Amino acid sequence: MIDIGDQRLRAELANLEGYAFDEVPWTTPRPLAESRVAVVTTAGLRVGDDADWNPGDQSFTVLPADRRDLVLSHFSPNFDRTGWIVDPNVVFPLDRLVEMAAEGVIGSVADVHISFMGAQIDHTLETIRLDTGPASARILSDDGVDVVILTPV
Amino acid sequence: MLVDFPEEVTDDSDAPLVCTIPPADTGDLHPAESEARGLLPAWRRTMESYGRSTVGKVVTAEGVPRVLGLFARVAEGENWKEVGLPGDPTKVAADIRNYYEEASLSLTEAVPGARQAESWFVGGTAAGDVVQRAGWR
Repeated sequence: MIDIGDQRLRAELANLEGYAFDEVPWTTPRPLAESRVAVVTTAGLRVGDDADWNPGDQSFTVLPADRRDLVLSHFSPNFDRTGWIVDPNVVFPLDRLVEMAAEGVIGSVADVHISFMGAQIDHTLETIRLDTGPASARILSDDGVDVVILTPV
Repeated sequence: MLVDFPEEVTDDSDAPLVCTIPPADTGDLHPAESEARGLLPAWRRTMESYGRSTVGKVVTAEGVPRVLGLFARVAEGENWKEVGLPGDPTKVAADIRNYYEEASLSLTEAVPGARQAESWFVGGTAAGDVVQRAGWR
């Protein structure tokens, strides 16, 4: 564990080569005011006593909207958690979505949300692309989700 | 890429947090272990204020001072495998760091910017020094 610092970290990651899809499918979404919205985060959240996250784990956890006993358990020690402690909405903006639904900005808030864990060693994210990504999308689709907000942490 | 927004959000993230570490027992303990003991009341205030913590992957907050003593022995030359760490060193290091960062929230008036608490931990605490030196061994 070394002091990498935010600016140095950004500079190092700026040229990190990610996986490029051959094709990017495009779906025209419903108007936002009619859309059901979910959060997908890479913060390594878990619910209550769910299993801890370990390096290289490309699985996901389902976060029911009515569970607030969430734990940020991302494995990396190079990760400042103070923002999460002060306000979980910086990672998982569920309160903001509820407000937007009440104001009619969005149609509704999903009953379930998803967490993966970022800082993956395998930059091709093969398991997520081919298995856990589609599996999590199916769960959201079954809940009628139209739009997701990705919070990369 | 649909739209590329050129604005760059900046903050004081690389400026270490400024906070005073409470005094603690200075008996025979390693300075890092003693320092961590002194931070326990602050950590508990943070827990009381916010009701959540990220400490506990391997050790509880109360267990952090003791494992810092173990990290200090590693930093001073002992073998990782022989000091009796209670779990994965990376996860124990995360517990130590998270404990410090959470305690710092009760030692400052303002909410720190991203990574300010990290910069304080690494550069301004005995524990940060010990964990880094142990990590290089």
